Amino acid sequence: MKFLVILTLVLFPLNSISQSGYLGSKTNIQLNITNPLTPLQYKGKLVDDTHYKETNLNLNASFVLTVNRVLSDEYQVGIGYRYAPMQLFSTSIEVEVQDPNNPNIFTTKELTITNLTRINHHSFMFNLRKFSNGISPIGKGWGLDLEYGKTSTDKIEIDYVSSVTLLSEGTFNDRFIINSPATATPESKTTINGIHQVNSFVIKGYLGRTIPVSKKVGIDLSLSIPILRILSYNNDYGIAYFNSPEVTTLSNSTYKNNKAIAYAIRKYNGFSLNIGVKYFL
Amino acid sequence: MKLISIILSLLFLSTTTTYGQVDKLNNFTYLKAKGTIPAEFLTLSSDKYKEDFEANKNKDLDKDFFLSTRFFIDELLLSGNVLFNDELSTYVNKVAKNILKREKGLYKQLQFYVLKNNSVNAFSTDQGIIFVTTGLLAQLENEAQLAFILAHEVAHFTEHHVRDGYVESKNIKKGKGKYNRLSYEEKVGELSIYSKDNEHDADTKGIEIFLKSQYDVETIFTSFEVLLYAYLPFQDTKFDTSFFNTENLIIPGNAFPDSINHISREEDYDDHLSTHPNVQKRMDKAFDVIGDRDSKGTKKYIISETTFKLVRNLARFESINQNLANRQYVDAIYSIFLLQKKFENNKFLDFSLAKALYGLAKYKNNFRFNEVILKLKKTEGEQYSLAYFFKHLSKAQINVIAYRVIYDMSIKYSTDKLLKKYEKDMLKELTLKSNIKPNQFIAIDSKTYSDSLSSLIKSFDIQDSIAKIDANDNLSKYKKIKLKKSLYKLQNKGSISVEETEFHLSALADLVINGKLEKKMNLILAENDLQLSNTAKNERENLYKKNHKEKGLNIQKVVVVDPYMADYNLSNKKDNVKSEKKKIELNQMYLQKHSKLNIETAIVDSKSLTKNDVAKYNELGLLYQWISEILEHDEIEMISSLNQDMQPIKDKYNTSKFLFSGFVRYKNRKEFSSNHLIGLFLVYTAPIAIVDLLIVHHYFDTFAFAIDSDNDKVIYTQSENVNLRANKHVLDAYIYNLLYNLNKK
Repeated sequence: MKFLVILTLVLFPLNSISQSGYLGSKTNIQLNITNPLTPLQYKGKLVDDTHYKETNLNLNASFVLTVNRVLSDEYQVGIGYRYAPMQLFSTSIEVEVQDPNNPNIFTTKELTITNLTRINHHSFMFNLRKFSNGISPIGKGWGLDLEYGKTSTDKIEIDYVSSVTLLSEGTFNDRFIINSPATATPESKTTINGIHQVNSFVIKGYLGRTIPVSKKVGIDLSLSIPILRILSYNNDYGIAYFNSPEVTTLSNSTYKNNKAIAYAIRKYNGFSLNIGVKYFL
Repeated sequence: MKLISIILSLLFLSTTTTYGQVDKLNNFTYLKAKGTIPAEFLTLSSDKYKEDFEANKNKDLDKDFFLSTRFFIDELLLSGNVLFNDELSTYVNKVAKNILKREKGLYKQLQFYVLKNNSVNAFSTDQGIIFVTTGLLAQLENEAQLAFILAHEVAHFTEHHVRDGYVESKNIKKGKGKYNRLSYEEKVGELSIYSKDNEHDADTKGIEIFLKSQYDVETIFTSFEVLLYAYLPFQDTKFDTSFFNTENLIIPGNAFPDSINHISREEDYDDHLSTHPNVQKRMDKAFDVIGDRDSKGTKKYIISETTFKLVRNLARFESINQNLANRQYVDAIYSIFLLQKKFENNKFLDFSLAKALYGLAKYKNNFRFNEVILKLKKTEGEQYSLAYFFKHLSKAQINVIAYRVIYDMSIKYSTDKLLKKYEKDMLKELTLKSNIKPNQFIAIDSKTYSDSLSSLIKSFDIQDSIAKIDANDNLSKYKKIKLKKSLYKLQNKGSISVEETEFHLSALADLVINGKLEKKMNLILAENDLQLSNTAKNERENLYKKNHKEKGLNIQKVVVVDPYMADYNLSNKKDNVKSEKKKIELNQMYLQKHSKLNIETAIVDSKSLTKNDVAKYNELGLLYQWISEILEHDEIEMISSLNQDMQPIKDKYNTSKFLFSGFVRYKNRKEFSSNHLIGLFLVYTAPIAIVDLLIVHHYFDTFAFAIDSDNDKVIYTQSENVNLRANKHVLDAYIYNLLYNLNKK
């Protein structure tokens, strides 16, 4: 955070390189909605120990507000804030289940999550853009985003079901019916208490364009491409695709849950589509 | 008494008339349109197209015909090179009115203009606009020839040749009807035949119109001769080899050729690929039409012989401007030579001679002489001598001749600041680029020098020289061979070649004698050395400076010259109507005031002229010619031939900075590339790659260059290709950015 503030104070007065901006506007405020393009995958284990997997569209937007400054005819820098009411990629929760015939024996079962409260992700970012038409901040551009974020919560509230009926013989990819009247038990709620925190440092590439629609307003359309995602949790760190596990199962353990949160953050910082509005000051 | 007063009045009138004409030529600068701008110049091309297309009843004439013709002709009309209400076009109109005096209705349908262009041509449009070039007027011998040419062009209009020609060419190209199954070569042949038939038809109908007038029938045949020899200058007079000579500059006779390429064009040349029949065929056809009519009672002049001669002279003077602007310096000099026989001490001719020689020297010094010199093999007639002369001059010789002439002009017209500028610049060229050192010039008069040179040649004994060479053991075998070869060559020639003749070294003897020339040249050399070392020093320093700032232009006022806008559709065809509309919107964008910029813009543009804007119209023509010349010069820094004509425009707009810029918008679909292939392989980017291939992409090219008319230098250039839809705001942004770059300190 301190680093970003210092960077801002150093960079913003850099007017020595002359530039015209858009009709003389060198500063602009931009509001973007970002949505990952990676699909949501539901994975889980049923009470009869069979597995399932399901893929859905990932409609989980985050909001980014940046203040940008034109440095030259080609370059623009900016600082921003991102807020994401993050949906975890978790679809099951591990619990210890007592064998009704043998009370001293506990087995680990996965219960299917039907609803999960969102966790708030906040991050600050610094961006650099290069516009290929020599007239920043409009036109086609590419750039880099450096983002430092924090996701934390002291509880996770979950709705779950404990048993299901299979449609057909259990296979890995079969769908299942939730709340089948024959054997399903009603939804129950549980809360996992504890301080969950994951920090992230992400470097993303930007590819897009800004199209002016009036003297003051422009539309920004772009793609974010992850370059490096470092996640810090449980006094350890993981780098996406190297040593960052793909964990989606929650449990009573904050240790394990942090891994799931880290996975979700990784997914949120994946390949994304951004649509925004730029207001030229 | 009455008779005497009548005679005296007539004498007075002729004197004042003659004096008035001479005055026009003495004060000649360039031809300008006058009065109010005619309505057809001011109507938008898209309005004309729409009106004419809707009124058209010929189904064979499609939209394309009206689009292409209306926009093309309007481009010509608005080029600034069309003359109206001036002496030339007024005269042409009078002659036209005379030949059509029995067809007043027809005359009212037509408009006659003169086009400033050196090509010997006249042409008519389907709208009834008839153009005659100044090149043609310069070549004519009499008014009757002009009358016949106008009659010919009128016949093209009355017989609808342009429209019918369009339809027929379409049929030929598509292979319709009788043109079915023709090969490409056969189709070209058919087009050529059709065009020639039209020309015969126009000749025939034109003669019928002509015969109704009182003009001399014989002139029809001489008109064809004018066209036959149109590729030659307006006279074919032996070039006077002492033309450049002065007291000190004496060019030896052997600088000019002993013989010339004789004029080879014959009346019955091969015309099978030409659009016009050859002259012989035209004459034969004309003879059939005319029959046994003779010239009895007919005249070569009906309107005015005096006015014809004035018009012709004005056209000839203008041809020199055209030559200079098009870098045809040798043509210009030959024309000046011809005109100076009648118009001695004419400032325009004198100044033009200085400009032409200056141009030749500049191009020679910059190793681009081939671009401006006539090709000897293709040059016929007496101008061959001049072309030969310049072709064989060395760099030093051309520079000295140019400097001599310019210096003498600057003395003759001592109050002219521009001539002083030329003189200064030419001296710089002479000093820095001609390979002559200041102390090489000879301070003796040329007569003494040439006499001594001649006696040297006469006293030359080849045998004695060969013996000396043989006796010299220090010379190698091959060196001896080379030396002997030169000696034998010399002996065979009997004289020294022009390159070997050092006539140029004594050409400035009067300036050498008083020591001023050497002083000035040494000063230039010293300044040049200093400049070179400063430049090297700055470059070294800038290498190490991290925040080296480019010096801004700090322009506070600029004249935007006719901004260009073109819009191309997906089939890569120009949408003329849209382009015109967008251009008008674009003009307004350049005039917008920006509070954050300290730059004022004025605009000279072709689409916002009103009928009283004839000054702006002339400015447009001049600006286009000026910019065209400067762009041709490219990296050669030189004063343009139109520098003095630009002064009134600079004064009017209170700036010397002119901006030429524009946009070309187009769109297309992308071709499949390796990027798409990679995109398709990656699951997440596949939809993007597919969309990228399917959608229409918008692009535009933008260009801009600013020229400082004080030194005729391009001071700013910018060009970009942008992958964006050029909507109003994007264009605004680019124009703002351009003005910002011009304005920044």
